Amino acid sequence: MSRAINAIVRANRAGPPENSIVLRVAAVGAVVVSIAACVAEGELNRPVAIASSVALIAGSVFSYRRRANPMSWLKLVLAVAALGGFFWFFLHISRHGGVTSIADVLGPLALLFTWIQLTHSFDTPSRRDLGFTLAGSATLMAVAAAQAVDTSFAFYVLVWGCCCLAGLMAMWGSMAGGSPVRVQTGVIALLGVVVASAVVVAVLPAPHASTTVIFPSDLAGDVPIATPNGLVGGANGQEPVHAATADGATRVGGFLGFAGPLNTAVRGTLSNQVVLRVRADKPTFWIAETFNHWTGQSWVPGPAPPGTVQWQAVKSGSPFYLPLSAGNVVRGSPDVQTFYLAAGGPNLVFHAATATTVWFPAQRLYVRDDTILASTSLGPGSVYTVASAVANPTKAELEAPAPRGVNSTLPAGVLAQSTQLPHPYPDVARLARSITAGKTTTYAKVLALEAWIGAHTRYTTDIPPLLPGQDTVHQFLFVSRRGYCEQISTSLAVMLRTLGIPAREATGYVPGPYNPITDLYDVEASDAHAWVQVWFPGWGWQSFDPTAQVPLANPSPADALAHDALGALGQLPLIPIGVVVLAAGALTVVLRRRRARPATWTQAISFELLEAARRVGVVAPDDATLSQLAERLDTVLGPAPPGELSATALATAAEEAAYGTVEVTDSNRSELIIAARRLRRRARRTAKHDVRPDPPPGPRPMTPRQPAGAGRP
Amino acid sequence: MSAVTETDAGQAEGRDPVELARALHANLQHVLLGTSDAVTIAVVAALSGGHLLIEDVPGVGKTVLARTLALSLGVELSRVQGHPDLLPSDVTGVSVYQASGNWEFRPGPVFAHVVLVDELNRTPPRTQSALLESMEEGQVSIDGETWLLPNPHLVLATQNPIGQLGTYPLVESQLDRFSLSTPLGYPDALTETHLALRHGGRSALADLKPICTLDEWLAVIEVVRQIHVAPAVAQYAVALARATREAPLVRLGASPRASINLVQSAQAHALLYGRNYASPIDVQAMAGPSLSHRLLTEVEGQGHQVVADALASVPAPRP
Repeated sequence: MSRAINAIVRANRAGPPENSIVLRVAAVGAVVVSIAACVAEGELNRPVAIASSVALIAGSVFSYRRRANPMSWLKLVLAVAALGGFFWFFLHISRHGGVTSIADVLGPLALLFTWIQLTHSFDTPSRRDLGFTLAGSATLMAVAAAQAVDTSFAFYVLVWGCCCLAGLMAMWGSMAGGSPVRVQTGVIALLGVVVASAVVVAVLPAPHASTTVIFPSDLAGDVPIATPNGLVGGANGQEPVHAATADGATRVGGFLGFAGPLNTAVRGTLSNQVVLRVRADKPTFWIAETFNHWTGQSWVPGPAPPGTVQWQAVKSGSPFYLPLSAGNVVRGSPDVQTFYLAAGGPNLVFHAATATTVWFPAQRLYVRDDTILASTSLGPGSVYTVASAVANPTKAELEAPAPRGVNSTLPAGVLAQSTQLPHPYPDVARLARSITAGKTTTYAKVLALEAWIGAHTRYTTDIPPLLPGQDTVHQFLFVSRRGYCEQISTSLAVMLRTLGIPAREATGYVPGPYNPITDLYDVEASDAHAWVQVWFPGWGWQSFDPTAQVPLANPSPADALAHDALGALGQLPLIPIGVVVLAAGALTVVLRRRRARPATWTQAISFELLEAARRVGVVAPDDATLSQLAERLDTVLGPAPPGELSATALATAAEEAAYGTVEVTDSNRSELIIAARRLRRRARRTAKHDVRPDPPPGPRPMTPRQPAGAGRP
Repeated sequence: MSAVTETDAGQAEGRDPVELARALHANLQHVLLGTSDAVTIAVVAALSGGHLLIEDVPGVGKTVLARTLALSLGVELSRVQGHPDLLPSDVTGVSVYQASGNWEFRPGPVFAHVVLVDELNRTPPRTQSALLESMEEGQVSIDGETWLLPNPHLVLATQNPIGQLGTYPLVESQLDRFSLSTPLGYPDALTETHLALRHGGRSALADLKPICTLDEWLAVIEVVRQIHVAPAVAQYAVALARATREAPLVRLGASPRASINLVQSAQAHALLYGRNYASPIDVQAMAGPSLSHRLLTEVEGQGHQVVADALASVPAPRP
C-alpha cells in the first residue's frame, strides 16, 4: 500500500520550476485561442469563454508566482474539481437521452476540456505541466475543428500554431539551460509545418456526402411557426419574408423570390454574406420555391388544381419521403446535399430538383409542387440533408419521345396551371412563334428562345421599378430589353406558355464558390436566382437558365482560397490587424536586436549585461571585457539588493565558465540567467527613475586599462 | 572567485600557489614603494619563468627590485655590470688550466637562478649575443662543452633609455628574448620621502625573509604552465600580436614568440589574481609589458602606443 502511495507521489512530484515566461504566455495563448475557436464554432457561449479565459490567465499567473513552492493540497482540490467535471459531463450526456449524433457531445465536451484546462492552470509549476497545457489546447482545437464548415477556421489554427510553436521553442530553450532557440530555427520549423500541412490537405481527398452513412441534420434556435404552413423569415421566424423594399437594404431572406409572391417589379440589394454552405455531389440549382401562376407583375403560387390540396403535409418525421409532385418520371442517380445554414433564413428547405428524401429534425414538412416548407424557423447553424433523384437527360433524350413506361403527359389540372396566362399576350406570342419557326421539338424551341434573349437583351439590375399596371414581360421584350434574372426568366416562361409549352418559375440559389478544403459550396446572398423550369414528358421539370447561358462550372481551388481569404480579411476588424502589425513591427525590432545573440548561456548573460549597460547609458567599447563592463555597470547600479547578483559576479561567473574549466550545472545556469535578467530589469528601472546625463564626450568612456596589472591583487 | 584549489597546486608541496604569488608581491611591494605595476610585472616574470627588461633612468630602484626578488625567492643574486669592455667570458665563465693538467670550467655570473645584468645596453653586441643562448636555451656552450644553467633561470636586465655615449642599442633578437619589460618610473613625492627616510628601502631589504624555497618556486612555475587558457583567450593574444605587425609605422612587429610569452604572462597574471584560468583581462594587462619592447617603430619608443592602438582595435572576447 505504502509502496503504491510512494509510486503515486513520485509520479506526481513536480519537476523543477519552469522560469520561462515566454513558455507560459504561449501556453495560455494557445488555450485562449482554442477557446475562442470553440466560441466561433458555436460550442461555447461567449460569457463562459470570457470567464474561463480570465480565470485561466489568473490561474497561470498564480502558478507562475508559486512555481518554486507549489501547494500540494491545491493539487488534490484541483483533481477533485477536474473529476467533478467528468461526472457532470457523463450525467449531462445521459440525462439528455443519450447521444444521437456527434453534435450532441461536442458542446459539453468543449465545456469539459475548458474546465480541465482551467483547473489545471492553477497548478502548472513545471515544464511538464505546461506541456500538458499545450497538448490540452490541441484537444480543444480538435473539438472546434469537428464543427468547422468554413476555412476561416484556418486563422484560428494559424494563431494557435504560432502560440504552440513559440511555446515549444521556449520549452526547447529552457531545456537547453536557458539559451534561447534561434528565431531562424523557429521560422524554418513553422514553414515546414505549413508546407507539410498544405501537402496533406492537397493529397487527402475531402470527405464527400455520398460516402456519409448518417446524414447530418440539426436545428439551431428553432421556433415553431404559428401558422402551420406559413412562410416566415429570420432565425426567430418573426421577420416577414418580404422584407426588402426597392433600393432598400435587404436582409437575408429578403430576396423577393423567397416570399409568397415573387414581385418582379422591385428588387432589393443583395450582399455577399455567406448564407448557407452546401456539401453536394454536384453543383446544381438549389430550389427554394416554384411558382405556377403569373399575374403580369408577380408570380404567385396560384390556386391548387382541382382535387388536390395546396400544401401537402408530410408527417413521417425524419427522414421524410416526399411525394413526387410531377407524377411518374425517370429517376436519375441520387444526389445528396447537406445544407449548413450560416444565417437565419426563411423556413424553406432548399433542395436540388426532384427531392425524394429529407433528413430534417422536425415533426412535419409541407410540400407544394417543388416547394418544401419547414414547420419551424431555421436559424444559423441549422443543418439538414436532402436526397434528390435528378434525371440529367442528354440533348438527344430530351428531343426524343418520352421513354416507354413513364407518364408522358401532365395531369390536366397541372397542365392548365402551367400554361396559364393573365391575358393573351398576342405580341409576345407572335414574337415567340417567329423565333421558334421551323423548330419542332420543345427542346429546340427553348434553346432558340434562350438564344434570342441572349442576343437581344442586356443584363442589368439597374432598372426603374415598374408602375402599377405595367406588364413585366411586355416592358422587357418590347420597351427596355434590359433586366435581370426575374425579368429574363419570366419572359422565357411566358413566351413558352404562349406556345403552349408547360413552364414555370423557380427561385433558389446557384452554387457559390466551391471551397476545396471544406468541400462545401459557400452560397452567398447574392447567389439568389430565378430561372425557368420546362416540362418534358417522361423527364419531368427541367431547369433552364436564360440569364446565364454558360454552364455552371466549378471554380479553381486557388480562386476559392483567394475568395475566402479576401472575405475573411474583409470581415476582420481593423483593430486586431493593427495589433498584429504593431506586434510584427515590435518583433522585427526584437529580432534585429537578438540577431547578435548567439546560442550559449554565457553569451546569454553577456547579452543581458550589454542590454543593461545600454539601458543605463554605460558605453561598451569593443575592447572592454565583460568584467570591465560589469564593474562600470555596478558603479552605476549600486550594490545588488539581497538575493540578487551584481554585474561583476555575473560577469565573473560567465567568464569563468567560458574560459575556465568549471562545469556549471543546469540549475546554476538558469539561476544565473534569471539573475542576469533581473539585473537588466533593475537597470531598466534605474534608467527610468533616474534620468542621468549622457556619458561625458570623449573617445573612451570606459575606464581605460592600465598598461600593466590592473591593480593590486 | 575561487582560488586555485589544492589539487591544482599538487606540485607545490602543499603550498598554495596563489598565496605564494601574493606573498612575493607583498614582499616586493614592501620594499619598492609606489611602483606597483613594475612589481606586478616582476612577480609575473618570476612566476612564468620569463626574463624581464627594466627600462628606466638610473637611481629609481632597478637593482633593489632585482635584489628583493632574489632574496624573496630564497636564491642568490648574481650581478653583471655592463660596460664596453665586458667580454662574453666575463658573463658565461672561463675554462682555466689547472695545475693537475686539466681544464676546469669556472662558471661565470650567469650561472645563477637570478641574474641581474645592469645597463645591458652598455655591453658590446658580442657579449649581448653570449647572453642570447643562455637566456633562451638555459645553457652555455664553451669550448664545445655545454653547461646547463640552474633552473629556474631568471635574467633581469636594465637599460637606460636615454641615448648616451658608449651604448650599444640592443639587437632585435636580444630584445625578443625578454618576456616582459617595464619602466619603474619616478615615485611620487610622498613615496620618495618615505624612501629617503628608509635609506632607499635598504633597511626594509635587510630584514626581508624569503617567502619560498627553490622547490616551491619551481612548483609554482609548473602550476602557472597548467593554468587553463581557453582558445578564445589564446586567439585574443595572437590577434593582438598580429595587429602590431600590421600597424602603420612599425618596422618590425611582435614575433610568434611574443604571443607565446604573452599567453604565459597572462597565465601568471591570472594566478596572481587568484584565477585558475586566463581571462581576457589578463591578456590585456600583459599585452603592453609583453609586446611593446619588441616593436621596432619608425619613430623610436612608440611601442607602447602601438600596443595601445592594437588593444583598442581588437575586440575583446566576451563569453
